[in-house]
Amino acid sequence: MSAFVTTLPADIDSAIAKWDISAPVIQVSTDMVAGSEFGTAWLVVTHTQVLLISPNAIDDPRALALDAVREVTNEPRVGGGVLHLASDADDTIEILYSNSLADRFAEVAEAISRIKAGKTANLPVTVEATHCHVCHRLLPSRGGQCPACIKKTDTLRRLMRLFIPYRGKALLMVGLTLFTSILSLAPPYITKRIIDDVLTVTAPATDLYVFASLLLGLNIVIMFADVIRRWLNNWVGFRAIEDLRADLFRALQFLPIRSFNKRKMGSLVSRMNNDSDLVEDYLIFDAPFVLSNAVIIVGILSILMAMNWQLALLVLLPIPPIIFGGSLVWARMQGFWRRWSIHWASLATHLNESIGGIRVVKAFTQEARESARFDGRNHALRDVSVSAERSWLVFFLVTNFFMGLGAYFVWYFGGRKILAGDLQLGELMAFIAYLWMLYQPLRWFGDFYSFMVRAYAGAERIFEVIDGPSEPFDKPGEIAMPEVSGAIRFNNVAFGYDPGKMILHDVNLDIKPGEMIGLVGKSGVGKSTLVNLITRFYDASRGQLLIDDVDITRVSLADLRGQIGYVAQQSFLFNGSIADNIRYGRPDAPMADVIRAARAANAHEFIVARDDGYDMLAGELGGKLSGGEKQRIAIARAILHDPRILILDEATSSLDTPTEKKIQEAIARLVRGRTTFAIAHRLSTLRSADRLVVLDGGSVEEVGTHAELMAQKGIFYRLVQTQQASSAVMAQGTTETSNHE
Amino acid sequence: MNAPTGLRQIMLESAPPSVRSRAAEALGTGDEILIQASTDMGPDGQFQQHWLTVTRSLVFLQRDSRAPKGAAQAQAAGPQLPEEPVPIATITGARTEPLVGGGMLLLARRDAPTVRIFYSESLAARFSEIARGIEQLRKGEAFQINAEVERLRCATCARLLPERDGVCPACVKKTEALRRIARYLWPYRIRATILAVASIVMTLAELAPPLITLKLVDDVLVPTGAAPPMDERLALLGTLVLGLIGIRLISWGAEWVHGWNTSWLGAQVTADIRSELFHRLEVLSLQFYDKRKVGTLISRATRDVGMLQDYLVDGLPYLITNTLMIVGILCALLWMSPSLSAFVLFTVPLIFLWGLVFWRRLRNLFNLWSQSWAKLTERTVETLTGIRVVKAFAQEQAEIARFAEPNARVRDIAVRTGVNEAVFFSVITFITGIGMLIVWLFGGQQVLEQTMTLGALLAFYSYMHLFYGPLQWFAQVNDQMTRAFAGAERVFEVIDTRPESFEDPSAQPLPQMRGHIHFRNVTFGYDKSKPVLTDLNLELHPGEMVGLVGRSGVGKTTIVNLIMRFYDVDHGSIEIDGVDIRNLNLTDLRRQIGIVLQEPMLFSGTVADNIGYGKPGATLPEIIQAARTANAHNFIVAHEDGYDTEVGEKGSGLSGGECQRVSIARAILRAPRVLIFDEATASVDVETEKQMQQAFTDLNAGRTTIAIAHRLSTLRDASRIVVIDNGAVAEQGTHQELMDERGIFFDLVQVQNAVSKIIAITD
Repeated sequence: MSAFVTTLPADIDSAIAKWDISAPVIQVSTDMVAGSEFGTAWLVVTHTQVLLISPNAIDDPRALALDAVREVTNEPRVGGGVLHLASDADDTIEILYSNSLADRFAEVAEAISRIKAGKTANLPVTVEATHCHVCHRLLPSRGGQCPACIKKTDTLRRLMRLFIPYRGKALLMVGLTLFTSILSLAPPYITKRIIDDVLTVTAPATDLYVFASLLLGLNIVIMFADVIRRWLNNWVGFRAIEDLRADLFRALQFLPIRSFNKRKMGSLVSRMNNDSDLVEDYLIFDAPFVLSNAVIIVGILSILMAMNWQLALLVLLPIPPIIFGGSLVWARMQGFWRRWSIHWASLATHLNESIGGIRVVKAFTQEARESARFDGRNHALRDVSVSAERSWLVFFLVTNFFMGLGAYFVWYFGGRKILAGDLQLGELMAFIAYLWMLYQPLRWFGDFYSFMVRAYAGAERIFEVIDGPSEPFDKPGEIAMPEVSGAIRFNNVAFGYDPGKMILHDVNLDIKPGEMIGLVGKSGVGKSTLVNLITRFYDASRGQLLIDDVDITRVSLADLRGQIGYVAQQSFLFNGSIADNIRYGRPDAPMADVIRAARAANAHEFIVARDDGYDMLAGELGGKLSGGEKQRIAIARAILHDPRILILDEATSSLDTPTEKKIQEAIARLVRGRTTFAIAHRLSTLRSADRLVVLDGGSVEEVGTHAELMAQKGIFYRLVQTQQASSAVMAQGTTETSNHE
Repeated sequence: MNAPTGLRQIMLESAPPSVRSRAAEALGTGDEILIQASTDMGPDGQFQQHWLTVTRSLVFLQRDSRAPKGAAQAQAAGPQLPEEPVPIATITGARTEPLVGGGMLLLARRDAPTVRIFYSESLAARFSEIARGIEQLRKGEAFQINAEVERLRCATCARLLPERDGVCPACVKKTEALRRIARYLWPYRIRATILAVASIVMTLAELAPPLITLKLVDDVLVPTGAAPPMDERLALLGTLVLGLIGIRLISWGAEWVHGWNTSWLGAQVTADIRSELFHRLEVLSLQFYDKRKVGTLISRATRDVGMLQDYLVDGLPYLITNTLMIVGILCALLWMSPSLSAFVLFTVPLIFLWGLVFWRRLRNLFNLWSQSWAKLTERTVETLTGIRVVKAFAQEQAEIARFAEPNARVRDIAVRTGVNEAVFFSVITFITGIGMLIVWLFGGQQVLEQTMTLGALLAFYSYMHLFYGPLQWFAQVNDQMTRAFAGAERVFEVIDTRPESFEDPSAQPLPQMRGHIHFRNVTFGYDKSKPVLTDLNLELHPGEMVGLVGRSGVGKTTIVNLIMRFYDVDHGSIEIDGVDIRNLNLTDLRRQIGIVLQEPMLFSGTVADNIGYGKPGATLPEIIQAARTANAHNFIVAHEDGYDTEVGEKGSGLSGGECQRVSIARAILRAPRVLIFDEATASVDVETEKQMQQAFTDLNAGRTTIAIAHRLSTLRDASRIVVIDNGAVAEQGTHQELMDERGIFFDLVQVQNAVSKIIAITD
């Protein structure tokens, strides 16, 4: 059973037995019924008819012959959508669904239209969820995890798992933490003994020096234990976070390309920077203190109770209401911080745009307006920070006041007890000292919660990437193809970046090894999309793409990409020397090969003309290479890579003419003997293509040699005409007009 | 025109009198000193300060008096430093050569050994300019060197700067920065005063309780001497505890006032600074932006201003309260027991010094840490930006391996920092512990000897507790202040930069531009010593459409930048309607020029917002009209939300060609008198381009139009084509004239045509 033919419940199955549905094409359930209420209705589509079975009328399904369906429309609504099947007899079937099923029904609508038109349904095998199936919220990535439905304990467990490789040291650290926390409880007791046993008695039984050396010893032990504890803490913590970052980076490398389009680069980078920082702070500065502070709180409470339980109860009285009040204020503060970060983001966006687009601002003399808009955001940010700070202040001062009250109770009631002879002064002092010691970890726990929430949010964002869809490298059952011949076949391939919005429909193409194909068409028609399917940056939504007669999804991805070369309109070079960049695809290539590739790419001359030659730094840090020079390095990189399949995506369109000539020569050398796809605006670039493929309206409209297409007088002919018309003026003066198409 | 002052500052250092007098001596009539600079290194890498003076005809050197003389010198410096002036005519070549950690200036001479002058890295940029200057003099070219070299290191302390030409955190003038920061508080001086009073009250209230407990212990709980009657002691107990509560209430009130005002004042002052900074950024010239990355400017408005806020909220107030606290406690301690104080206070310098040492160490680690983080981020950003290349070449594993090193480095430095902190805080705890120990030991002794009361001992003990906090704070305050002040300087640097002259009262208004543009002998370079345009003469008549043609980098966009007055010419002048552009009202000038840039930067907002960008308050019919003219209307209404379609950051959601058309509509909505297309159709396919050209032809009637294009066919409608080469107009005329001339333009057309053939031939 696929995603589109699911098993019917028994009652429905029997109810509709009288209809012939032995070969259902689609058999899916919805999650809404008329009136936008939740409920499960079933939709069954065969080659001839459509059945809709509502939960409140199982025995009376709505049936409609497919031939009678006049129009299939799929309309998004708030929180869901509706699929209309309109018939001539004004007998419209409406199928309602919630957002979580929107993708599925977009496919269903498309399929019904196709079946009606007598084509195959061509449904995808699976649909990736865009909404959480538990809470129906939009997922951050298709098929990803819902951040609202992740359990906090799961996150904690995963974070703790980072320590497993270092468990010996981690356990030692925990032990030392307990040890130092317990020791830190001792000093107030020693001072109590000093006061009661030495200072307030006329003939001290113990010498002052005994206690003093006890204090000294304690100090020294705590100091050393603490240094070791902190050292372990750092050693273990930073290694764990290093591993987490490495995992994240690995996941980033294997993310499918579409994740880079959807999620902005900035948000991915911020996972590496900000989110891992949050987790780092938590693992190193917060989490280790949970234990020690808990031990201190429990320890002090027991000591206080043991010393004088009435007094202890008295001073601990304000703590429960403080915790309760704290949780109330906490919720309020959350709202403030959320508002604050929204305002901050809005300020930062404006700043980014206005500074980044300063030329436009100046050219349109909008400086004053930009400033005014900035001031508006700036003041909103100020106001919300003042409110947030102040409500925090109120909470802080009120709790502080009540916590402080405890000490005065102790002075008063404890003082009375001393006067009555029931208590010793040292005990009172120790009591007060312990009380102060108690407040600090209590307050810490208040803050800790906010750190923890933020760190978990950061950790979840990181785990989301780590768990996210990754490209299927080393998939079991993949077919190794160390040497492809370069035959490529598109069988009814359809594709859209968003479900329901197909960019390519029914592409059928058969490309022989070594053939050069020119892709032609208007901008936005899907030329780049088509080549993205060959590199498997994306997978076809429907249909099949075959490489050497093997389904591309079964070919080992590493083998496939290893044999595809790619030169784009704007070539990206990495920081590193020119030589490193050329050997990017073959890091072990000897220098002689690098130079040979550079020569073939017409790059050698300009490279050796530089001071540092092949050692010159390129990339963002190096810079100083012109667009044409970068392009030639990219071509050299592709040549050295020696691909079987080559993709040239507008490789020459952003260059001026003399440079282009050199690059065209280089490309001509590169193309020889490889299956090549070339995309170009300028049709003249495609002269040497064996065949031209003209895309229009998402499918292949014309295929043939240049001469054939010109003779056909179709779309290509018109494109050439247009281009000629605009070049004609320029060509008038030249002696050779014949070379212009 | 700040070149001369810049020159004087950097290329003419103030030399000691001996150097100056010798220079004056050597100076012939009519000669002038062009360069006077000092080196900072001898050939052996030791610090030596030699002086180099360059005049129009001579170069001469003066040795550092500290440099070894005679034989030793011959060995160390070689005979390369001649005492006699070297006539420039005898120099056959001047160049610099990089060495590890510095470099040397080589002056090759005819019939004499080459002169070698050494310098460290911080002077490298300066000496390479000096070499260029000497070369220019030698060849008899105009003396034009770049006076404003970028500094990598601080000029005063030679430390590596955090950003090029940035502020050296170690050399910030703290008092001046403080005064300036304080000036931002001036408008709110009443609140600031209230704040100060509240902090003083808070401090005093914190000092009082130990004195009360002293009384409590000595007079009530463990009375020394004859004990007063029990009910008197009970009453006193009540009074004293009430006193404690009273003081707590006062301090509580003060805290309230303090917090209430701080939160307001901090946010307000930060908002003020941020506003001022942004306003200034908006009106600064593009020259300022050229030298800086967008990221660093944004971080000034976010991080640096944030640091200032932290300082204002957390730093400055504590300076007052902690000082008061320390003084107050010292007085109390000395008053209670001078002898015990003497014992205890010996830990104070220990804590303070240990703090200073540590924070200095930590500062270095912190720098290392941020450098290693920068490396890590760089790797992440790079690999993500180039992800298509990574994937296309199947290099994921290699990238992962390359990430391991910077990742491990971040970890190592973090651990080192952590361990340093661990040692630091443990030692601090230990020292304070020792202090407390001393109190118990010696104080206890004194109590036993009855030279001190128990209450005083306990008060002493409390004060010591209060004492260590502010003490540690003072050990690190310098560091915190330094960082905040460096941030402040970066902010002030922007605020102090001279803005574009929008407000010039003498500027001539130009309400209705005709569109006559005249370049007269214009010379201009982004770097003055490397002119892009030299002696350019060009006249554009109202209503003319001119195509600018030339190789990339030849200065076509520069011409546009000068017309917009994004930059001012170095020599010559540009006149619009007969008035020098520098005398025109800048707003009037830019308001009437429409420009379509190569990179169509759209702002977030709707399509309609973007088209209406230059004309706030434009009506929808106007916007639609502009969109129609730019051939954008059809695709806009094809989007679900039509003119309300949201354009995200940098215009995502629209294709490149669509963004370009929106930016054209934006330019023409303002009905400009001069229209500039800078490669406006480069990212558009042929058919769209043709439609757009049609639209331009309709649009351009009556306007002066300047079009730049690589694709020569785009310029078919130009009434004149101007070919720029070598920084000047090389050819101009109609298309036919230029083709007949068989010059540069002819060649360009030839090449463009030939390109189409190449593939066919090689195949």
